Amino acid sequence: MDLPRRVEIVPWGFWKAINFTPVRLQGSSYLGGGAIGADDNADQKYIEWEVLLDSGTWAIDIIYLKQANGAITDIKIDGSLVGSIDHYNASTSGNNVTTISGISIGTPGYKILRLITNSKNASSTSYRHYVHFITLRRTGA
Amino acid sequence: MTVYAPRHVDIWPWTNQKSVTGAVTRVNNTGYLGLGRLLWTNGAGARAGYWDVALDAGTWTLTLIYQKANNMNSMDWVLNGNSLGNIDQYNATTVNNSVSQITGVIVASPGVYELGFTRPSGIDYLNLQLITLTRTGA
Repeated sequence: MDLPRRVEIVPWGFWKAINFTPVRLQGSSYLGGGAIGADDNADQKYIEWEVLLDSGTWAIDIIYLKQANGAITDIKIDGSLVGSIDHYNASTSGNNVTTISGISIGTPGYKILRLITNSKNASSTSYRHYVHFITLRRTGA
Repeated sequence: MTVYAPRHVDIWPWTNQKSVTGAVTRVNNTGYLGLGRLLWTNGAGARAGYWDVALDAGTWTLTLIYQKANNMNSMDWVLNGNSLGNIDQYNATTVNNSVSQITGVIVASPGVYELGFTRPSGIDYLNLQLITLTRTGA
């Protein structure tokens, strides 16, 4: 069986593991019509999926919600930090996109993609972390 | 040779299907997670829907997101013809974005499986917004 080179995750569907009480937000203005996150306003909250990736160079596109009480979320693959997103914005705005590129996958196989809150913007009042959609794309050998 | 098969599968049921029985329509609504659902319209005959999925061996959870309503029937879910359980979509009041799960689905070997549901008879509607399969254990 050939390995995927594009993986799309509907984050509000379901997950492999989670350590917070999930809230599914529904919104007609959200890309994908929803978001998953938490209102428990605590740091070090994670959600993860097990994805099958070919070896090579990959990019992750994360579409997410920004709020005045947003956290900073680290993106990890098998425990290695590949980038971060800042959920803070003075006014609420959906469909923000951050692309983390140049991610090297040395060996093909199953990887754990984890999003974990890790601190917050100095202007933020809390640690909310809603995500609309995640795409992983293989960009090179 | 190592055989790889996915351990997380998302299906937008309203995009397309392997096969369906009964009349279906795509419904768009701003109140739905995903903004759409596939609706099996009211009828007295059999209804069903099937999707092919590649799954690794292990234990899986099937998650369904759908609308509950007082004119909905129930779905008997199957994987390669083996019963997984029943999901009752009836509720006295309409609730979009309802979530139901069937846990402990055993997949003995990696490969392509036919996931689907049947409703042998009975009136009322059926619907699906999202299907997610998540491998939860070996």
